Amino acid sequence: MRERNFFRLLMTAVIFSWFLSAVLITPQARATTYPWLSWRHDLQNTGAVPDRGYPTSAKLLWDKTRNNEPPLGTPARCSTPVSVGNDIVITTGNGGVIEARDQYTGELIWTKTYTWIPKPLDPPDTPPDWCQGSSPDLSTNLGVCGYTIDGKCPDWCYECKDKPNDCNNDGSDLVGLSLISPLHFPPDFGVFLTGATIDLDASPARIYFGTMDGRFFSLQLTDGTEVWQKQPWKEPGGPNEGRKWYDQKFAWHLSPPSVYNGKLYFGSFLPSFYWVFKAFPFLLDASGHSVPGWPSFDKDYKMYWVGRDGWTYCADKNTGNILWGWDPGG
Amino acid sequence: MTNIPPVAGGKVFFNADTVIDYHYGQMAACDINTGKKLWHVGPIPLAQGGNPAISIPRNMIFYPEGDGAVWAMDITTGQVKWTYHGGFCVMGATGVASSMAIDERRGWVLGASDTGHIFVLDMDTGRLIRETYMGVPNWKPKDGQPSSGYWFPGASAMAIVPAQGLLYISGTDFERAWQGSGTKGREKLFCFNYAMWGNTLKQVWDYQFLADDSSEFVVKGHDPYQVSFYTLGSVALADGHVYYGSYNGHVYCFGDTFRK
Repeated sequence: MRERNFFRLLMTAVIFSWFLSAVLITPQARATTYPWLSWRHDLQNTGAVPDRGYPTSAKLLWDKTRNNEPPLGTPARCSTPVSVGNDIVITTGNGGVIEARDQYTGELIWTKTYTWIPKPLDPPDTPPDWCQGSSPDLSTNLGVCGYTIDGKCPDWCYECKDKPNDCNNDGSDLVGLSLISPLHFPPDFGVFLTGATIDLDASPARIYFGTMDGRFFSLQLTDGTEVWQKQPWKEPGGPNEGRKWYDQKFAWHLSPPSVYNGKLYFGSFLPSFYWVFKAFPFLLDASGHSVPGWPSFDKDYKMYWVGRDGWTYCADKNTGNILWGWDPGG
Repeated sequence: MTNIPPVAGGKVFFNADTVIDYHYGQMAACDINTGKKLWHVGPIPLAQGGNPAISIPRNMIFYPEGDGAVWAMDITTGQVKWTYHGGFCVMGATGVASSMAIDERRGWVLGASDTGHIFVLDMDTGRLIRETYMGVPNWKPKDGQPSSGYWFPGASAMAIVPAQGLLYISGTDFERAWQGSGTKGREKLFCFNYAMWGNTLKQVWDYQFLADDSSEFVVKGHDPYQVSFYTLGSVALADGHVYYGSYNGHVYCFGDTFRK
């Protein structure tokens, strides 16, 4: 009798163990077992997976063509990290196209295309002749003054024009460049999208990503429904709060956020003013005109503009509201 | 800051540029709740920051800079433990790209430089365990500029499988990438075994991505400054599959089979 009970108990334990292992080990339908939720896999950026079974030969299971990017009309370049979770693969990159595809078949689940927003307006207190000292030349980085003194081109100007520069946002002299956003593409161009970070703790699951035109987004993972969008560089608590017109900073978002404990952490690249590709600080002369800082470091200046890499932000993941920012001093 | 900030021990870590004329890298730890800076190292001249990676058991953070160096520091204090020079490209102004990975089970940290140099280091000491060059396994900087077969990882970050000792990383070819934005270069995905005996990493396979017209030239080049920084993606590993998005506008899934 005791042996029979022991046998029953043993069989029960075996069956229970088999059932438990089936539950724990067999992947649930429609749920990635070992997801890759962000660029570097986890909050420690290990770039390492815990499982095994990865290919030791270049066997291709599927190859899918992404939607076309505007205005090129060619498959959107994927130049950013891929993320995978809940059986969904998210791809972003140049050209403004974000896609969600089935992890196992590659079939398209949803897609969206983001194009550049209009150039941000100059701050209200910007003087109309702010650009007379120098105008940008992306090929040479030389300053071109829109004035002469006593008919001569001052030595701090690399070149002088006969007429004043048109400092208006829509002016032809700036070739589409603005005070705030130095390399702003027309609205018919797809905008660069950072890699996406998947948040499976949110209900329903979400993704977060930024754009090169200064926006940050949260979408629902399964259908792409927008949860929120923000422009962190303009938000209260952002880098421009209380700053003067010559110290306004735009923000390119070029990398995805980390998500932890209800908050997002992400960086930016801040091409402040229009000197993004200038190699040297720029100075304001006594009349408030910008003066190339080199080779005229001995000029009578009163302030300079600096800044290239940008603020880092902490935001509420449910609203996108900025909780705090940190300035690395760039 | 153009990387994804890691989080550990109540801190969030930012590796940023601090710039007035060129790149000055700065590594900082901030309180995760308030943003208060707890410590920082730098600015380091000519050091553009890359992606940091963290070992929780060792309480250490590892980060690559654009001056070619990898830094290893104590998370709590910011004390520098060791540095390792990952190498400059023969034509470049930058060194280690934004690509580091942590193999906790072996105590190794892995990095990749603009030279195509992939290296495996001991996390505790920074000692070089093994290395190779993408596409040109025997090449060394003193050998000069190779005529072909030389690849950059660019901004592509590696992904590793410690259980198999595998490493996946994409690259773009040297001889075309630096001809400027008007010239397109090649794009490949590489797989290496980084855990075998010996002083080198063994290339297991590579895959050449093609344009829709079957041309090999798909990646828009760049000037001699972080050549492919804006171009190459990074792989994701999930459930035994390798996912990669290419500059050619395609998404790929590699693997032996589907598990389901």
